[in-house]
Amino acid sequence: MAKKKFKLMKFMNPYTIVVFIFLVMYSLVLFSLLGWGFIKSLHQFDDFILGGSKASSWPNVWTLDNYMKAFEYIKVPLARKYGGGSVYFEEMLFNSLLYAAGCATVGTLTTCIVAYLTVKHRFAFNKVVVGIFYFVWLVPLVGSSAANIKLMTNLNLIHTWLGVFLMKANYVTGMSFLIFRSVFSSLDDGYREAALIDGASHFKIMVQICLPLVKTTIITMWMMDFIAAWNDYSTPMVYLQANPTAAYGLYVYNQNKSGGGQFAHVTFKVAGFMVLLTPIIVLFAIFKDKFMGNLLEGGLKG
Amino acid sequence: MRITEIEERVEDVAAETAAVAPAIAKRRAVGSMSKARRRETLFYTAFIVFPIIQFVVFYAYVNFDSFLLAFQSYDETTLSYKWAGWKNFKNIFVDLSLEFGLMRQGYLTAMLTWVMNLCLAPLELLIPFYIYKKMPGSGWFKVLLYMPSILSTMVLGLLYQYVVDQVIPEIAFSSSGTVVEPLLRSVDSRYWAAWGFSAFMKLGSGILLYTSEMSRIPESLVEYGHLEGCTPLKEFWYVTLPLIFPLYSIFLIATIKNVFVDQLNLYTFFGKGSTEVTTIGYYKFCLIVDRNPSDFPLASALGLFSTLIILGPTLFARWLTNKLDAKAQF
Repeated sequence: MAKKKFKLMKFMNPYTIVVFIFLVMYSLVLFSLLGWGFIKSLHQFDDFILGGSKASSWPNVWTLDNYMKAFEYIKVPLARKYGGGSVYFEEMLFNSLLYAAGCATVGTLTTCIVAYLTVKHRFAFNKVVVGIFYFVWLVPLVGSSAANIKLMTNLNLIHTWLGVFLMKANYVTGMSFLIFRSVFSSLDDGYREAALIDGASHFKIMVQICLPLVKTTIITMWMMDFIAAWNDYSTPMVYLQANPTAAYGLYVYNQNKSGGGQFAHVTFKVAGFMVLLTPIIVLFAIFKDKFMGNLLEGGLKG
Repeated sequence: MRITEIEERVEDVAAETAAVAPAIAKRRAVGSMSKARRRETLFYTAFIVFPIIQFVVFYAYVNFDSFLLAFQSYDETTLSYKWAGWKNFKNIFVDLSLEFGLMRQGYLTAMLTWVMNLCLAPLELLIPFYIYKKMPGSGWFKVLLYMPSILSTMVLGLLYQYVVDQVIPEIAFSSSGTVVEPLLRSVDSRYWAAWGFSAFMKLGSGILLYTSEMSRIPESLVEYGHLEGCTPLKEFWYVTLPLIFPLYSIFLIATIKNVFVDQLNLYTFFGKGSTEVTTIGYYKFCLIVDRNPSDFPLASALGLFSTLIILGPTLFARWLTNKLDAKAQF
């Protein structure tokens, strides 16, 4: 008890107290947003029209009906050139899964393999490959989105799955390349050399020896890319309108049902929001240790 | 031929063979290495070619085309682009000279946002330090700070919009009769409400990388600091910061680089409807989101203009961070 008291006294300084209070307030804001959303998703739709409920009031009747109705009411109209009609929420969720899994797979695989090649195979061209990454990271070339859309349109890749996956199959976005290089650098070359002596091909060494040794990092980076793509609504809005994802669909539904007396639709909207958040929260709860583990065991040099 | 002559001949041939044997063996060995190197080169080329082609097409060509597009305009009759010289840049300069020009407003807001984000920098370092020192609640706060990185910004943004525009004014009015303007809807408070949300989401973005890097600091260094009477802040300034400075410089340069990309989540809150408060990143996104070819030249010109403005400061920041880096080693 005395030991615990002493430990607590050690932290009683202005810096610790200020940061602690700030973090408590941060937690309250985050929980208020999520809590408010969850409570609104339990209102009856009529609560706002007939029941006199407001944005800040508790539900008159608590119900989970909105989660079922979200699949009926949340829809995105498709332009005639994409087949017309509407895409409903369950199809949007399927599109989200395909989009997120596809983008994560192509992105992580490309980055991982390029990092492996530049660390474990000595070629002069490695300097060019790594130099490209640092060039893109350092030089702020802004505003090429218009030219990118033009290219995708000219190649007939816009609003196609192939187009989006080709766009995402690069190693220059984010810091995954540096993280993978760091991890491969810390891998002992003895495994490769022993396999080479035994006559294994380079492909076999990469696929059956080296990549499995870093599978924790691969899985972690894949999940991070998956989550980012699952939550992304702006890329599908521009490049994948023929196959709307859940994030994009919810955004469009929210914009269409906002303003005036349309607040009542908030019940379906936030139910949809909660459905969109749930897989990520579940994924995080299961793989929390992997997400929050030490990604930089080998260090990071900028 | 007599037997002795044959024997002599055999001895001569044996001697010649022995003389050239090392050269033959060497040639065989070199030939084997070339074969292995060839195999390795083939393997390397097979796997590097796709990422390089992807870079050439989706980065190099796209940026080159963006440069050309900045000097073109779209002809609605022929449905093609034609040379327009400096027309797009003239439009930008005209807008910049107008007091309420959207682009002028966009650049000013972007720079204000950058300054405000710089003010956040100490917090972005001191909070991971708090987590790394395992101070009260650090485990819980670490998870909480990481949550906005994985939850949808769009969802949290729309929830935030409902709360600040409807819930807070309702509660203020019903509890004390105070009339509070909806923070995002009101033009006076819109920027601060939007920046507040952006800062809230940004705060924990580097938490994992910073705490990972800080955890590599040798315990002996920290103990030595404590023996010398270091307070937590002194330890942060003299021990932690020099060692994590390379990582911090990466984030600092990214902040500068993205100053004209940041949309402040305005599209999430308002779609294309925010004209009173705008950033250059938001303005450019509004130009391209409908994929109207006639807007592409102006968007590209804005991008090129923004690149020219920010290139110098980014390279300067890189030089400065290299200069300030104490090159401390773990």
